[in-house]
Amino acid sequence: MATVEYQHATCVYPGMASPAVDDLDLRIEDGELMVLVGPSGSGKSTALRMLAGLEVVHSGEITIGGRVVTSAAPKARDIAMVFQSYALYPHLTVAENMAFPLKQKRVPAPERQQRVLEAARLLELEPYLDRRPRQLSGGQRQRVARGRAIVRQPQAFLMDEPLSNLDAKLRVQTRAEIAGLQQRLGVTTIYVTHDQVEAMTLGHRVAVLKDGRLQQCDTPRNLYEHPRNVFVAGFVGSPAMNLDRLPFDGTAACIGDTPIPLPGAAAAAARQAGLSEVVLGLRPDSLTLAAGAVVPNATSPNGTPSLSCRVHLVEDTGSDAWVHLDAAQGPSTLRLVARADARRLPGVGDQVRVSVAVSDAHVFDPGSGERLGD
Amino acid sequence: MSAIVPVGVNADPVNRTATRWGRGRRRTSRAASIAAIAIALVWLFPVYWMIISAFKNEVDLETTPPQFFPTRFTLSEFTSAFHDGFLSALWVSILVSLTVVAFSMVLALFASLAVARFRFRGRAFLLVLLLVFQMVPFEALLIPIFIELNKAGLVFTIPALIIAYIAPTLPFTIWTLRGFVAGVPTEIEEAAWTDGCSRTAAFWKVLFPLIAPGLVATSIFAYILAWNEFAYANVLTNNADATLPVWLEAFINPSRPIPWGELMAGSVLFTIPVMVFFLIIQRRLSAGMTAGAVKG
Repeated sequence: MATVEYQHATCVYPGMASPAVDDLDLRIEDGELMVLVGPSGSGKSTALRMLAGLEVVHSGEITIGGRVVTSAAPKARDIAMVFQSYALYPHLTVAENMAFPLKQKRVPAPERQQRVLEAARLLELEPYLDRRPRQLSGGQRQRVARGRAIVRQPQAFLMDEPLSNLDAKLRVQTRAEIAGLQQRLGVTTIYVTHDQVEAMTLGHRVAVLKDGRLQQCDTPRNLYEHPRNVFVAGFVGSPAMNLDRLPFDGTAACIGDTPIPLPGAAAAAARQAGLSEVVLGLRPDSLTLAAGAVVPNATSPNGTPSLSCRVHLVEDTGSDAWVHLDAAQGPSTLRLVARADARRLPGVGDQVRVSVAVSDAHVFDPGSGERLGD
Repeated sequence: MSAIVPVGVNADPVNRTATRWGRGRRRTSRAASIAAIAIALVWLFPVYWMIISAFKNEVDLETTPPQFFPTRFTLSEFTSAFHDGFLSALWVSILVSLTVVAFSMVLALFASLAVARFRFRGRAFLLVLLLVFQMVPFEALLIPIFIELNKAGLVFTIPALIIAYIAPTLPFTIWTLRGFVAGVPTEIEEAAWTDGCSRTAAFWKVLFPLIAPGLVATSIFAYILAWNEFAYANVLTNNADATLPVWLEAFINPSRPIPWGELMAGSVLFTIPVMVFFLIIQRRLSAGMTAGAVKG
């Protein structure tokens, strides 16, 4: 177990103008489960492969346990990697696959066998030890890949989208297994995914990347509640945050005729920056379909702004329901998504009143995309 | 209430169409099978004729009409063919074929690794060049190769023949092996590196076993080419180093009648080693063909 650190690490693929990973500074603490998340091409897998020694680090440094491994061969890094396709050796049995890294380290056969059996017991793979990978289901192959990583007792686990080849149900189950296993073994783990739900549920901390640059690294709760910029705000959370560029009058942003008072610090920052427009971010949970008669856009007696909207689409997922709304914004309309009570859903085309929890509003500079206020 | 259908009458038009379609398909399948058997018989007949002629005595060989199902058999033609320089030619053929297989496999393996796994300037051009070279008729290169080997002082030696065979074998073997190497996901090799292997160890412990069926499949091609080739062997070797095809051709001498029995016995002896080799490795060959065809 060890701390892992990227220090201004950069990787440029041959023939590419911009770096795949650009000046990455990231410290992963001993025993931490760090998730690298981002859309396709964000550089998350490249960052992991740089750590594994599978990609060249053109500038900067990478350390594992305080030891600089920037130019070290993969075998000299004492890491274990789980690949997206599992990358099991098709010509070897499950037991031989799991014992493979130990054999390379010349671990004596009795100890090798014992460690493979322990890992197999932990992952419930004992009945399959004599099978070949092609005789296993996707979930079982995934467990063998994890088993091969576990037996090594490495300084760090590297996982590159290990769940993306599993079906939805198995993915949820395996996700919980990985979290439990990591907690039990306490091994520093770097986990790459493009699925922000996976990132939020698994990670002790989550590093969000875009175009090779680290956008924000924080706990899942902080990422959700205090996104540093528009990209993180839009990427984290499902459904995504409502992000709209709105006119700003010095204290409030306006949706149609309804002023949405901004949090004090954000409003002050926007004023100081001399902005006439801001990007207002509202999580679907911050918009509530209010009971009662529909009134024009107005502010309720308790000071909560409410909007008159037309229901465009209703998505009922069983436990949750999401209502897509159209709010009037000058000559055009503004599309908003709000969370609704699944037992009392409006119909498509209904006119509804939506109250806005202004204290939960996020405000961003429309030019730089950076968060304003706190 | 269910409809009453008279016994023996299929009242359902959908089923009736399906049955007609099924019958039609069976008829087509039967016709295709008969055609396949007929074609196979046309191809198998010369082999059958070669084998029975090798075992016939001289009288039965010359009868008119010919005997398709001989009743008397003899091994005398085999004995005379065997004592007519067969073992020497067999040894040369085996030596040349196995050496060609060994050299071309080693060279093709490394070349296929290079073109499948590494990106380098001129890679695409090299691949096209291999294909173009493959399209040049083998016989068209005989004179230039003879001149080059003559300059090198190698002509009429066994190494000359080996070199001449390796050159045309390589483009095909590199192309074929490249497919097998590319079929192994790079992630498997990368997994081996992170599991503690050096690049060389990962090659021998992971990649090599996975492309072994491909090596077998391509080695068959090289072996058959070297074993069956006549023109180069006839020009580039002297009588003492004759390979089996050249030895077989020597039975046809304009100054004497053609010894058909001995010629057929020689042909059987010439065919047997290839068949034995093929039978030994045919399981791996079929696995190799499948592995190359289906990326998985």
